[in-house]
Amino acid sequence: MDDFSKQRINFVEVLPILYRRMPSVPQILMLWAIIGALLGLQHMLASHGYERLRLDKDSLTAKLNTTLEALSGEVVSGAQGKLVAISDDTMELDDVGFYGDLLTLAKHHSTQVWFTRIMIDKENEEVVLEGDASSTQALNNLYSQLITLPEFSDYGLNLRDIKRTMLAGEDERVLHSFIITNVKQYRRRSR
Amino acid sequence: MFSLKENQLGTQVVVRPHDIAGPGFDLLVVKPQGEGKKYLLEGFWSDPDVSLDVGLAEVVRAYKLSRKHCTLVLPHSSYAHFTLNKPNIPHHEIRDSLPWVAQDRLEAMSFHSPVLDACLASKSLQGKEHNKMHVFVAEDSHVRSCIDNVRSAKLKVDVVTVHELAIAAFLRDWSVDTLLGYIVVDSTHACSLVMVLNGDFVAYKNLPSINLEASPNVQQDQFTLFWSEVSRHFQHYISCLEKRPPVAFYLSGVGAANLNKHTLFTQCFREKFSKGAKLNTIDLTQVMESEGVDDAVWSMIQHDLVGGALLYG
Repeated sequence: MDDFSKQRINFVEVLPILYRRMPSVPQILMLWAIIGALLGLQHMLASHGYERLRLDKDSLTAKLNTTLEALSGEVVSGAQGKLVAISDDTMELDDVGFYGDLLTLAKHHSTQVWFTRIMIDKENEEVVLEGDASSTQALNNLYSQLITLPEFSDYGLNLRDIKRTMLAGEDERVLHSFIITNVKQYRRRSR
Repeated sequence: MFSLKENQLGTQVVVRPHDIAGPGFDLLVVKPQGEGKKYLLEGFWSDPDVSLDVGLAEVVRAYKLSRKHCTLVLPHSSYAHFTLNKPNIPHHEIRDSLPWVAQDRLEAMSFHSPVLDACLASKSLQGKEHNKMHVFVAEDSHVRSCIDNVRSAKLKVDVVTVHELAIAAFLRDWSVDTLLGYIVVDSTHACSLVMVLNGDFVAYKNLPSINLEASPNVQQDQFTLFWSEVSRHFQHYISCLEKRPPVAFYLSGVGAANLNKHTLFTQCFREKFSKGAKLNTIDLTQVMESEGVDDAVWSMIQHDLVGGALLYG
C-alpha cells in the first residue's frame, strides 16, 4: 500500500477496512465472546461496588473546586484551600459526589480547616485529605464533629494528625492530615 | 523469453467485467509453474450477456474455484484516468491526499462518491512528463457492488486494478527498452492506445475509430488519420525520453483481426513509421502452455486478464 514507487493500484486497499479484511466467522464469534466476557465482568464488578468513574486529575480538581466554591459562596483562593494537586494522575474514583459530601460536612462543621490536597491510597482504600488547619485543636474539633455524624460513625473515621512544619518565607506553618477509612463501605452505602 | 516468479498463491483467478454495472464478464484461471516456465491455463470463461451477479457463482462452482484468491480488472469504461503533477509530499501520504490533490479535476467530473487511487508515471519520462502520477477515479458504489458480486460468488478479492496497469504488466517482458503501443480495437471498431515502456504504464490515449465499411478513399484517409494520431502521441513521449527507444505495436481486440488483414492499414502504418517499427499481434502461447487448449480460445482471451494474473505474481 505505501510502496508508491511501484506502478500498482488497488481499489480494495483504498476502500474502508471492512473491504480489505473481512473477518472470518470464527473471528466474529471470538470477538463476540470477548465482548460478552467483558460485559459480564463489568456487570460483576458493578454489582460488587467496584464500578468506577475514571477521571483525570485536572477534571477532578475542577469539580472539587467548584464544590468548594459553591459551599463557601465565593471564589476559593489557593490560600483558603483550593485544591492545588491530586496525588494520582490515573486516579479511579467511585463517585466524585463522595468527596463533595465529605467537603460539605467539613465545611459545615469547621471554618478553620481548608483542604489543599487529596491523596488516594488504593491498596488500603484510604483517602487522605491534607490541608492547612489553623491549629491541631481546630482539626480535633472538626474530627470530633465529623465522627458523630451518621454518615461516618458506622464506618470508621480515623484521624491521624501529622504535623509537618514548613517554612513559608519567615513564618512557620503546620500542615495537618487526617485519614478516613472504610471508604469502600461508604461507597456501597452511598450508592 | 519470460522469467515469471512463481506465485505463492498458486492458482490465480482473474475476473474482468465487460461493464462494471452491466452484462458480460470474463474469468481466467492460470497456474504459474515456476521461474522461466509458461503459465498453465486451467480455465477460461467468457459470457458477453450475463452479468457478474448472475453468472459468476455458477462458473466458480463449475470450476471448483470457491475461496480462491482473485484479481479484479476493471474495464476502462468504468473509471476515469488522468495525470497530475506528483505532489511534493512523502510517498506514503500521497494516496490519502488524492481527494485534495485531484480536487479541481474531480469537480469537473460527475462522480457522486469517488474512490481514488494513483501510481507514479514511468520514471524514464523527462521534460513535460517528468514527475507526474496517474490518477484513477471510480464510483465508490460501483466498485463496492462489483467486489460484493465477486465475493458472493465465494472468491476472495485481493486486488482491484485497472485495464492500463494490467496491460502494462502483461507487456513487461516485451517492452524492455522498447516503447510499446498496445492498440485495442473493439467490436464497434473504437480504438484506444496504451503505451508501455519497460513494463511501466506510460499513457492511455483514445484513437479515431475505424469504419471498415467505408469506401477505399475514405479508408485511406481514416487510416492515415489513425496512424498520424498514434505517431503524434509517440513523438510526444519519445521527446520526453533521454534516448530514442525502438518502437513496436501490438494489435488486440475483437476488431483487430479484420484490420490485420487490411493491406491499406499496414501500408499507412509503414508510411508513418520507420522500417524499424514493428506491427505485431500477440501470441499468447508464448506465455502459456498451449497443449490441450482449443485454438479458438486464444483469440478470445483478453490480454489484460492475463496481465491481471501477472500483475501480482
